[in-house]
Amino acid sequence: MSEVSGFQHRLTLIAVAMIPFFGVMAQPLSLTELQRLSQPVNAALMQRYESNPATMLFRDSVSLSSFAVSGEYDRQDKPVMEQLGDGSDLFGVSAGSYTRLGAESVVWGNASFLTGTYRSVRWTDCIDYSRVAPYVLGDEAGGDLSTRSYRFSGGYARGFSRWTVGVHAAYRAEIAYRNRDPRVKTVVSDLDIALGGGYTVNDHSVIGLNAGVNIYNQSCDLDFYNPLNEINTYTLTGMGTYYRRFMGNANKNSGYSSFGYSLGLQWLPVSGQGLAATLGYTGYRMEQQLRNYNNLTLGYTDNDILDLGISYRHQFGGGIMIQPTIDGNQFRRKGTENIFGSSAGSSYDRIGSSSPYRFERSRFGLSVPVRFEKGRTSITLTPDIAYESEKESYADPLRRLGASHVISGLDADFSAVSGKSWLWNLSAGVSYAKADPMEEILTDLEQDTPLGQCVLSNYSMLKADRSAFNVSAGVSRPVMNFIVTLRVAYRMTDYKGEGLRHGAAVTLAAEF
Amino acid sequence: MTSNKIQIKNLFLSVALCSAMGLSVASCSDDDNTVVTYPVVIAPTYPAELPSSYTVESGTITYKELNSGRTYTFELPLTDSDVIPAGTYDIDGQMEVSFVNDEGTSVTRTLRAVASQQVISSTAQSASLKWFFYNPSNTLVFGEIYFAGSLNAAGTNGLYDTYFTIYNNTDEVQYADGLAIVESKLLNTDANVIITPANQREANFTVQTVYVIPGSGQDVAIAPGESIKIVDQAIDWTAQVPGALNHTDADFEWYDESTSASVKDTDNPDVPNLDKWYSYSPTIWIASNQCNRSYALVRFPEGMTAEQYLAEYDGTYKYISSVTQKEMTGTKCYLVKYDWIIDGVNLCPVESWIQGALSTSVDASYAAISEAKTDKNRFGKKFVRKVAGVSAAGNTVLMDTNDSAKDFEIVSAK
Repeated sequence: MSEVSGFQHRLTLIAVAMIPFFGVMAQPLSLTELQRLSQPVNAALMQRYESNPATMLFRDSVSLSSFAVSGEYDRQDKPVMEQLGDGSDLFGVSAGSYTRLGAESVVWGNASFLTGTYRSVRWTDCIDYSRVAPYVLGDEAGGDLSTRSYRFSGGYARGFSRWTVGVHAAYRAEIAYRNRDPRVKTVVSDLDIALGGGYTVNDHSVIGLNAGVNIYNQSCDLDFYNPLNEINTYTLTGMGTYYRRFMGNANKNSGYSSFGYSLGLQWLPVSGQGLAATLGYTGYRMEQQLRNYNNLTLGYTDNDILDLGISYRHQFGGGIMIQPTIDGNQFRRKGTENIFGSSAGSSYDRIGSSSPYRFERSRFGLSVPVRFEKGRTSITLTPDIAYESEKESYADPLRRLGASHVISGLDADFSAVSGKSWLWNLSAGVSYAKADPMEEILTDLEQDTPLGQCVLSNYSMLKADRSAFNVSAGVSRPVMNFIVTLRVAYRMTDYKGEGLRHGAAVTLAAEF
Repeated sequence: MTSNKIQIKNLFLSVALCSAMGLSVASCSDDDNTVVTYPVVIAPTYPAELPSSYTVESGTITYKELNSGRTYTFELPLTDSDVIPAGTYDIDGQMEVSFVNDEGTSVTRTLRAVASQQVISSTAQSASLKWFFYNPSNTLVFGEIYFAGSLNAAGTNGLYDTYFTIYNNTDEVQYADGLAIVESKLLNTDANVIITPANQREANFTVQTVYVIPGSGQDVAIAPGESIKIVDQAIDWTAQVPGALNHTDADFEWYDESTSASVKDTDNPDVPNLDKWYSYSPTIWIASNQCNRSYALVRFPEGMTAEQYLAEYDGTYKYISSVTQKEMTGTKCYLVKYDWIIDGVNLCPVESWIQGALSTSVDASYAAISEAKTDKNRFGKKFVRKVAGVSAAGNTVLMDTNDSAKDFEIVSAK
């Protein structure tokens, strides 16, 4: 493990060292450009270009590089989902660059390191729970998980007359561990490779098509130093169900692997004005293997993710601009459990499978940002309304939980450049989510057991009404060849009748 | 203006395209997460004593899936609506059947079947079940019988490190106090013709020893799937012969006050003794070293005392000797009613077997430790009841078909 860490450290240093190299090739960054890039309407639109490496050529005309250190704090009176813990303390260092090499080529790269603690994680001994659920090993005891994560990514896009091609690769390595029983050592490797093409259909728009693959592996080792412990490890299968055959302390190591692919289609403006539409599909199959049983594949999930985004930007006279936006996302998961025959030693023959587990989450939202700009002052008001729905079910025993929310909110963002040396950013937002829980069915759930309590606790948070507000403030100032930015943010969510969630973040960045 | 028209048109095109793709994905997804099930099908084997014509009065069969731990219980007889998902099942069934027996009498008996790790899948939907007559009162059974003993240091005979275990073959706590362990008077190797009707093998069980587990009714609890060990002498025999057994962990021992100065029993004060109601031997009782007698666990009627039993159930009998062909008298024995027996087993080497001392209703055959009665290979070996499966409650069920040849196997005692 130490060799791997050393290698990752070296990769981080190399990646970080390359970024200033790209950065110094670019023109110096001004406060007004930084102000423009940080406006919500622009930040949202730039994200649409990032879905295809080829369209990164049109993301923005300005090169931007940055170093940043950040700290994040999250506390939950009651965990929103016990498998994700009741909070975290994270510290990160990152560097990134988007550098135009000329009118027809752009290169970008990011490297980051994140370390910290996820607090009171229970009922899963692996990380990336939302990705590998519901087939995880878990126990009631759980505890804090320390984490170290390294991320590297980079890409290149080049234009040839009306055509554009691009390539992008990203890699994440993460290790999470716990130094008391149940001791966990989890290692993740996550590789993305994407190719994209674009065609400029007229002076205003580019159409893009991208495809990518993802290769994911997670190894999760569990150990107990106290031989007299009574911590049972459950091989969980969702909604409080589990493989009884493989529970106990003998089954301690598991692995996850997946191969995913993605396709995307984009219609994007070349100059920022007009229609921007993206459609993306991602599919992957995540398999769970039990290491202690000859890498027995216990179950797998088939996952489909569909993303849709449409916005239209129109600039009126008098510094007024609107950008109505529709965003939609749908996620479906189908869980399949392998069924095993009689055991011969530690060998189990697969005799069939069943697919009793389903999960579905949808979100559709409409927002209408309106930006008022006068001189070097900008105000953006973003009213939005959204509908989100989450359903989870298990066939035998029949269990079904779900809730939908109608969410309305208003965000306000203010930025101004004062004199020639200060950029101020202030933002605030409020939202309210009204829940509509569906009729719950929890056949044979042992509600007085810790596992049953976990199911009920997660559901109580899901079906709660929520109100939230957030505020943030940032100040930027040129220092030597950099623009140094300090930004603080706070968010509070009130899960009505359940508890509060507080989140805060501090970022210190040097951009150039 | 022209470009705006083009963009508006493109907007509609995009929305239409996205909607179509969304619907396409939605229609491809499988919303129906019901589990595929298969009809419950049993391939039964019935005991030979059950006539071809019988009626299932009632019964249940429980399937416990080993992967998920889920349990499915069905009433008997099965119907078309009884289905289970694919899986590996432990099966536990019990039913009441009525039939007309060989004597023309209508009787109702209980059948039971247990089976382990039966696979139900798309290619195999039938579970094999071997039904056997089952007496729900047969709550306690012989689990192990070790009467040959370990070979002595001289290599000539067996030690007295003999023992047997009594196993709780149910899913409920059973109490062993008051239970008697009896040995047959009759050898399973002789062809004597019993004249006295009360001593006929199908009438009563004629016994020559009666030892009773002490207690007032609920003092000796045996948990489901657990057993107690009863030994001849609760000492560490390994101190005398390496490889012999250590019985200092025994639950009980049988102890005899010998009338002979040269033959004495040992008594471990830390291990309680069985109550001795009767033994034919004036010295010490040694279980059949050649393993050619029969043994039974007996639950006497409530309130029965040793004095009453010995006074009322004397078993002295007349018989014709198969050797001399003369009428002779068998003494030093008592009668045990078959209604009192909760488990019984005939033991005998193969070449010596003539007939069982027990009724065939208690044991249809016998368990053999060896081919020949003098086979020294029998030393160090024990009878162990086979495992039939696992009950719905998760307890090991031992084979109890009242057919010892099928119920027991021979294994090393070490």
